Parts: sequence; C-alpha cells; structure tokens
Amino acid sequence: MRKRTTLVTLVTLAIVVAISVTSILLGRSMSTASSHQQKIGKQDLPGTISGTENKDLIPDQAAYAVFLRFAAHATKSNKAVLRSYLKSHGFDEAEIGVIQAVAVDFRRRVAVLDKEVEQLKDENWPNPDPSVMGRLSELQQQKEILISEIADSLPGRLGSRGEEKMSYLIKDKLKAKMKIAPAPAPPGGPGWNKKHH
Amino acid sequence: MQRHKSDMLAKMLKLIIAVMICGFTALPAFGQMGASFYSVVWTDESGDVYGFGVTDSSYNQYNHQSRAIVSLSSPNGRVSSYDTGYSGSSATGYVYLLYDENDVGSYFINTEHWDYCPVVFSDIYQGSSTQTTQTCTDTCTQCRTQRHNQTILAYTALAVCEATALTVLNNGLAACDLQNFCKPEHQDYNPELCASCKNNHYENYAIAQAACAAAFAGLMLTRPDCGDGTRQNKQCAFICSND
Repeated sequence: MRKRTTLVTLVTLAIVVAISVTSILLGRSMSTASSHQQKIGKQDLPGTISGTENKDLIPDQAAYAVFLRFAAHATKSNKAVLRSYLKSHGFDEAEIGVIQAVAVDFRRRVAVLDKEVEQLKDENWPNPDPSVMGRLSELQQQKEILISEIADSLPGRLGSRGEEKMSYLIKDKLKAKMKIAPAPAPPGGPGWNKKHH
Repeated sequence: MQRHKSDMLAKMLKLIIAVMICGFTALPAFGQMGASFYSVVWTDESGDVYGFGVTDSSYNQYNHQSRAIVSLSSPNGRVSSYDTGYSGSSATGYVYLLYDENDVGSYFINTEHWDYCPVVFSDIYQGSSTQTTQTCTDTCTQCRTQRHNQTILAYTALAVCEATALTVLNNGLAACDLQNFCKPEHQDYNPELCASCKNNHYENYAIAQAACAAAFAGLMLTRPDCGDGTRQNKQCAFICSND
C-alpha cells in the first residue's frame, strides 16, 4: 500500500515536472519572443510560408479553403459583404450569384464534417488517441476532396470569363497575401526536435 | 499491483507525449502545412471599408482550436475590431468602417492568428496578416452632378431662347399683318413694304437663333470635364467619365 502511494506521488510529480518544464520552455521562448515583438511587432512562427515572398508555395487547396471559409461565413452573417467583395474584384451579377450558391453549398456540406470533428474532439478532450486522430485525418481528407470538387466545378459554372476572374483572385490576389504556419510535428516525425523539450 | 503500475506508467507516458505534441506546435516543421491565414480589406462603391480575417486549420491537429483577432483602423484612428474567440478548426471574423469624408486615406487591417493547445492550456501565436486599402474624397460624383446640371441648364436655356425668338417673330409678323400696307383691301396696300416689314422680323429671328445657339454652345463648352483622368471616386479608382 505504501509502495503504491509512493508510486502515485512519483507519477504525479513527474507529470507536474513535465508540464512545468514544457511551460517554462514555452514561456521562455514566448516571453523572449514577446519582448522582441514589443520592439519590432509580433513575429510569425519560424517556418511560416508567406505568399508575399513566393505565392507559388501556397497550394491552391489552401487558398480555396480560405476563400470558401470566408464566403461560407459571409453567406450566413452578411451576404452584402460577399457581394461587395466579389464586385470589387470585377465579378458581374450572374457570377456573384453562382459564387454565392457555391458558398451556401460549401457551408452546408462542410458543416457536417465540422460537426463530427467537434463531437470527436469534445468526446476525446483534451488529447485524442491514435484511432481518433485517424478518423480526424479521414475527415480532413474529405474536406480537401470537397474543396477540390467545388474548385473544379467553378469553370463550368462561372464560364470562361468568370473563371478567369476567379483564377486571378485566388492565384494572384489571395495567395499573395496568405500565410501558412508550420504544422505541429508528431513526436519522432519530421521536424521533431528533442532539444526543445 | 504490477499491472496497475504498468497502467499508470502508460497513462503518464501518454500525457507526457500529449504535452510534447502541444509544445512542438511552436517549432518549425518544414514541409508540413499547418494553419492557413489571410486578411483582406477593400473599399466598396460607397466608400465603406470592409475586411475580414481567416484562420483555417486542419481537422487533425491534436485538438487545437483556431482564433482570429481582426482589427481595421482608419487614418484618423477610427477602429473596428472583432475577436472570434477559439472556435473550432476555422475562425473567420469581419469588420467594417463606414465612409467618412473627413477620414480618407489608407485603411489598415491586421489579423492576429492564434492557436490554443488544450493539453498545456497554452495560447500559441501563429502569426499575423495585414493589408491596406485607400479611400478618397469623391470628386467624381460632384463633378458629374455639376456637369449634368449644366447640361440641363444649357438645353433649357436653348429651348427658352428659341421659343422666345419664335414668339417675337410671330408677334412681329402679326404686327406687320395689322399694318395697312399689308392689307390688300386697303388703299395704302404696298406688298414691298409689307415684305420688308416681315423680312426685318425674319432677320431678327435668325440673329436671335444664332445668339441662342452661341449661348447653348458656351454653356456646353464650359461644363467641367470629368473624364480627364485625374478625378477620383471613393475607391480612389481613376475611372471617372463624363457619362
């Protein structure tokens, strides 16, 4: 019994030490960064891809995802904003109608995926096990397929002139201002660096 | 007892791995895509400025949550901001400022993109995205209104001028007809004198018509030129034209 109590104490202590060490390391890097940020503004994470520097490094998939997320949000909260945005990029009324319909379709279909993701995360809070991570990856793939499907359908729905405008908006305007942060590195995977912990 | 110990060690290991996973979010991981983020700002036709910021993450990022803090500021310091809070894998916030003719120039949007790790209860700053747009004093609408009003004035003046000249002509001709030299039954009837009387009025009418046309041309020519390439609308686009 005494051994068991000692073991529980040791385990608890180990957890507290692990959390503290991580927090301290994280806190130190963040506080160093924060004092630096006070001087020159907040910095992006190292390894961030910036479309301003090279827009070709931003995948179409990511750019369409951002555009569709905004468009879907706008069709729900304020349709006039989306209309105004598209008009400022030269889309005519018919093309705006098509894009609004596409955004509504995306919102409806991605909501199903978002809902399952939220449920999975709530049920497996805070850290999902590998099987849940596997399911989340599947859902991510489904989301990517949905985005590709919508992006591929646009030329047919918008017509050649509309598609030209959309392509310019995504590839020249949106990508040029987009950024992509580095992904969390799984332990042992590429980019994993033991020294930081 | 041994089994219990192994279970506890396994749980501890699992937790430590989770802590490490969250911590690594802040480390570089070249070749892998994490959250995408973007800000945009634009000016609409009425000069109102709109913007939005999006943080969009993959579903499979260890239960992390996305957040976007969007802030739009005007040259004179008006600010519109929106904080989405942590809201799942994707966070979108939009902001706007209405047109103010005393607050024109560069409008700036800045979005801070954040990530929350639920295991170590830590907010992780992912980066920021910014953009600017311009608003201008609308000289185009004012110019076109002035031009339009002057066009109406010119046409109205021409119509009134021509109608007056025609009335004067008709009255003159009628006055001639009342003269005895224009009455064939009268003893003083003189067709030459009558024709001369009427010709005088026709000549005056022609002069009046020329004056009307000159006045019309003068008004039309002095209208402001709104298509000279220097006029601006509220979006600062050099697209103003005379029509």
